[in-house]
Amino acid sequence: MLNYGGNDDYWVNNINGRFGLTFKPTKNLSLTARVAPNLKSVKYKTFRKQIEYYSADDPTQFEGFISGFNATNLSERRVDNYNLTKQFLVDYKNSFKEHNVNAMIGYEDFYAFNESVGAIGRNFELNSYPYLDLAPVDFITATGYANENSYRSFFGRATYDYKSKYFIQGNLRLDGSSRFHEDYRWGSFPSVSAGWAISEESFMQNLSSISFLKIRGSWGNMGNERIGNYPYQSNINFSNGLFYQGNEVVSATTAAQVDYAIHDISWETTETFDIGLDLQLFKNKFTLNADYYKKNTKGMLLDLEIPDYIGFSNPTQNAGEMYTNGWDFNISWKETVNDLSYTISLNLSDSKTKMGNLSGIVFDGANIIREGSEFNEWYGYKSNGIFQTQEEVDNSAVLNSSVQPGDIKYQDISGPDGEPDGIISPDYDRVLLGGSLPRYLYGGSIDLNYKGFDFSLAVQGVGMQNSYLNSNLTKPFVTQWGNVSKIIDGNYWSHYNTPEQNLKVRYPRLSYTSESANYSTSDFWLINGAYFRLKNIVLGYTFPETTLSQVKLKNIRVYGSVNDLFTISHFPKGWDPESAYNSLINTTINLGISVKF
Amino acid sequence: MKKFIFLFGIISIISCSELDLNPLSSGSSENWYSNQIEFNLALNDLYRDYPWAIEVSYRTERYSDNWNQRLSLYSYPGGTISSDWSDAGSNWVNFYKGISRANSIVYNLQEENNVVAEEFRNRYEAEARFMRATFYGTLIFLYGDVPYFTEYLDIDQAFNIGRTDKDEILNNIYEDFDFAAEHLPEKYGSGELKRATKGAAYAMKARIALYFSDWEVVKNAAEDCINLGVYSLHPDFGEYFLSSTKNSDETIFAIPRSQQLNSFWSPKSWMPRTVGGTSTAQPSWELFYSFLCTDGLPVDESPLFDPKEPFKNRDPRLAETIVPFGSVHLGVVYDPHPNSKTVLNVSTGKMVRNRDTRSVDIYASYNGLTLNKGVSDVWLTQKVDNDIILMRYADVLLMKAEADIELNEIDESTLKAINQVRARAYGVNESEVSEYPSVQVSSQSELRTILRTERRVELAWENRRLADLIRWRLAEVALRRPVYGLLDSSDLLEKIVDEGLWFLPEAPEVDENGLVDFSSLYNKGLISKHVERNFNPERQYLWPIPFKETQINPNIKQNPGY
Repeated sequence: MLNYGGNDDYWVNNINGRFGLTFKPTKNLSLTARVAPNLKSVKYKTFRKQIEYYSADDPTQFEGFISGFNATNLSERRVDNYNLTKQFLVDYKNSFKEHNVNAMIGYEDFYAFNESVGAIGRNFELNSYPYLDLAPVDFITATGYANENSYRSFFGRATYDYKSKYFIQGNLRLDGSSRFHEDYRWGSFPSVSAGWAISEESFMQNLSSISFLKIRGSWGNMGNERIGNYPYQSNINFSNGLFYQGNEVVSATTAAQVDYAIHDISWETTETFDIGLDLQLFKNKFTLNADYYKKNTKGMLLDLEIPDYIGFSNPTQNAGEMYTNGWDFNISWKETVNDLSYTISLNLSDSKTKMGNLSGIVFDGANIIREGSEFNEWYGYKSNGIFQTQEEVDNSAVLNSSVQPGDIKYQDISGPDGEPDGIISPDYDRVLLGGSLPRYLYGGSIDLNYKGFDFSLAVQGVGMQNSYLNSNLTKPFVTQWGNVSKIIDGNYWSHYNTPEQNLKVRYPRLSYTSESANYSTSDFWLINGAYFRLKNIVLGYTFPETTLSQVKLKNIRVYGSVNDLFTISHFPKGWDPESAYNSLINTTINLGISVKF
Repeated sequence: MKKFIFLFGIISIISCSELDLNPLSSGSSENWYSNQIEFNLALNDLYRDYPWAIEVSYRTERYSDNWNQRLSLYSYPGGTISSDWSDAGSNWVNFYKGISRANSIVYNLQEENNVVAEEFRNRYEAEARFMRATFYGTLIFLYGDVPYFTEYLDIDQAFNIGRTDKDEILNNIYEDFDFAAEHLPEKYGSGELKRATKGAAYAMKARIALYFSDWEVVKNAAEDCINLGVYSLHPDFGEYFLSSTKNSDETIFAIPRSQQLNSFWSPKSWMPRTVGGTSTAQPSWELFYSFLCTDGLPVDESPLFDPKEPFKNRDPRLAETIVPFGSVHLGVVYDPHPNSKTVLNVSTGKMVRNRDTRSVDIYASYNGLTLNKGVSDVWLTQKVDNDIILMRYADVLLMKAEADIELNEIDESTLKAINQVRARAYGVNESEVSEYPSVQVSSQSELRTILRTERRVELAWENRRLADLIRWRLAEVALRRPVYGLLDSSDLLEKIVDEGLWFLPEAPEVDENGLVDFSSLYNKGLISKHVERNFNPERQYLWPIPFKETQINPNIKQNPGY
């Protein structure tokens, strides 16, 4: 396929401009006008050639075409994006003795337009001319679309500080977006912040160990409108249907409303409270930054589930509230002792979300967003080990009558009348299984320099996460012709095992029929996703200049680095804990030399 | 000068961007239905293939006893479906999309000052109501009571409704069909797009009534369709299903496909491996052995049946449905016999490796059979455009006959309907009774047996079998029997081939419903059991309501047992 399958080409042309004019009528006042156009055009060309294959025993025997390569096809697409940002700012800055004042008001205006045109030619006779004019006329189809969006903002900011000791700042934005109906278009987003550099106070001057100390506090609102372009109107989408006309098949344009229009959709706002501390000790050797924040999101834009019988896809709505609490801090130590200089730093952060009053749910099969849940919390059955005997199956609630010993046992949580009904069903027996987002993210690094040598090491990890074992890894027969995953081997429930062995196995019986039962989302497949990773180590040596000047070089550095050397996690060996899906982790080793003349 | 430039900059900025933007490459619902063309385009949408996903790619045939797919089994016959079964979800969505779109056409037509000319108004409404009735009819057959509405629903209203009794819905469906039949034309001119017709409305009404054994309605609607005199059986049974057969008089309602117009599908899974297919799925043995012999008797009764030459003396539809061993199929001789290591490629005249026997290629057909219905050399391109046939005349004739039989109003016309279908298979006229095994009995129970087999073999692999098994309540028998196939190669050679018993040593038993029982062959160790079916009659005669609906709307209750 690599040699004969054709090619994918992709070109991007991007032109960015930024033109600004600043005019200063007085020393303290400046007026600025800026225009920033951006033109981007992308060109895609995919030429897929027919590949025949022949019998290995008899190379003259044509056996068929390789799947996906049974005809020579060319697909071309051109996408044009154009956007223009215009800004006008008035800035005033002044100091009166120890009072520093800065005020700014501005206006910004943005417009974006996207257009695409594409054509596909199929069943080329020749496969060495990747141009559409060689495609048979009957087999050329064309596509096209366009959309646009725009916004306007007015904003102002005022800051004031006294002796660089007390700081205060206020902001106000007014944003209007084309994505909302005229009546719901504008949002106003104020914010204020204040700071106190305690270390600048006279009473602190005696404490020589504290070089800097500041406490900060802020409150603010932010708006979000990152959704589809025309959600308050419903699109009529065009397509094609085929009909007989006489004995000929012809195509006719079709039209249908596919989206449900939410007339009053408007801005999502997030209100943030933040308090923070910046501290430096021992002549700036030690640094600490810490923040605690609380975010309340209101009118959150979510694609709430609506009844499918309404006939439209789930529209984005201002669904409700989300509350987030979080903190982060980092500390570092930086010192130079004789020829050795080093920095050690550590960071740790955490946040937790909880959904407030929502007017519905969002569900994507394994994760749910609903009132009282976390954002994208796992949702599924609660498991209770593996069925060991037929008797146990007979006396338990099961998903269906094909459940046998060796299948996963689920808990009967409820039923149509609000009590366990003796049946495991997706409707009544799935529960929240814990958050899916990572908690306690941490990282750290050490940098050392000693004479010509440099060394650095970086680690990172997650302290707590509910991770899902991908079914590609755990299903014994993803395909009938594929290999069985090694982790299952010898560790699954089987009639050939002794009852004692079966009590110890991790995986259910090997079966196609029970696939829908055993691989449905449940806590059986959730594992502790915490991990620690040695991300990167670099060791280098730079030759001293005295040696170099003789060979007329400015700088020579030789170095070796290792990425992803090892990871400690509960995932199967080789699996990348940072990726939710099927990707394997690679350890990369680099050796290099860099020379400057 | 600087000031001047600055002012110029300000002016260029003041030309603000417009915030009232409307979709560019799609229409807006705010002003749709403003002219007749827009109504037309909206109607056209109902002829796209999305509402018919259940009729595409042998969808429901896969769940029936006509299907064999190596060692795997779909979750419906496996008995493992629950309310998160993807078919229950996607078909629900597709039918309701169609319904809401049809509804919007109907109520916009009923607006007082709508723009459609008087002469078209009823026809447009008839088309939309025909579609809506078909979608609702299929829904209540599959799911039982469902939410029913004919108006625009906003989200609040949608959350307030529950499931409507299916009998009440069925009455409204009949009204929709009656309106459609009254106002749709019998035919369209050669310059017009061929849309739903009067005959299609009658025939679909008959099918929906058939789902509920509402025999009077089936009989009347089927006879109304027959009496139009517009439709006739295509002269050649095998030819009718080919992609080259366009717009036959047998077709009452179909969605055409066209490779040129980018509507095609890949048939690789059903093609033999020697010609580049994968032989993933094929007709089942149950189907194979339910074709009668040329004397009109089933294989376990007919003296003409030879288990060693199972294609000999059989209803001609067998060879049109399943490729006879040793015949040329897609340019190569098809022969699953384990000793046929090579076969003749007739186009090159050379012997080639036979990848369609499991002694050469273990993924060759697990039961030795391969599909012939609808297959032609076009399939070698692996992009095929056979029509999606939703209703054909033979089905209407058999519906009429079944209604007569069940009402016990059996007369000449009943036998004629069955005989027309059967005679066509033999390429003769229904009146030439010596040329084919014509049906001449009048006992209700005998005719019921005949009809059930006739429907199975005539409509095999046309997505009718599962509905028949459900309405006859035979799924609990047919879909609780295992899927059987050939023994593995060494056993096959030892127990069958070397004993001179190929293909099978004896005829399996066929019961009065046309269901085939292989258990005695299996008990003798002469065939292999590939997978157990486990249909659950306690709940599976109705599909589950997609769980999402019960989760977000407490008015929607789940079907029993799920």
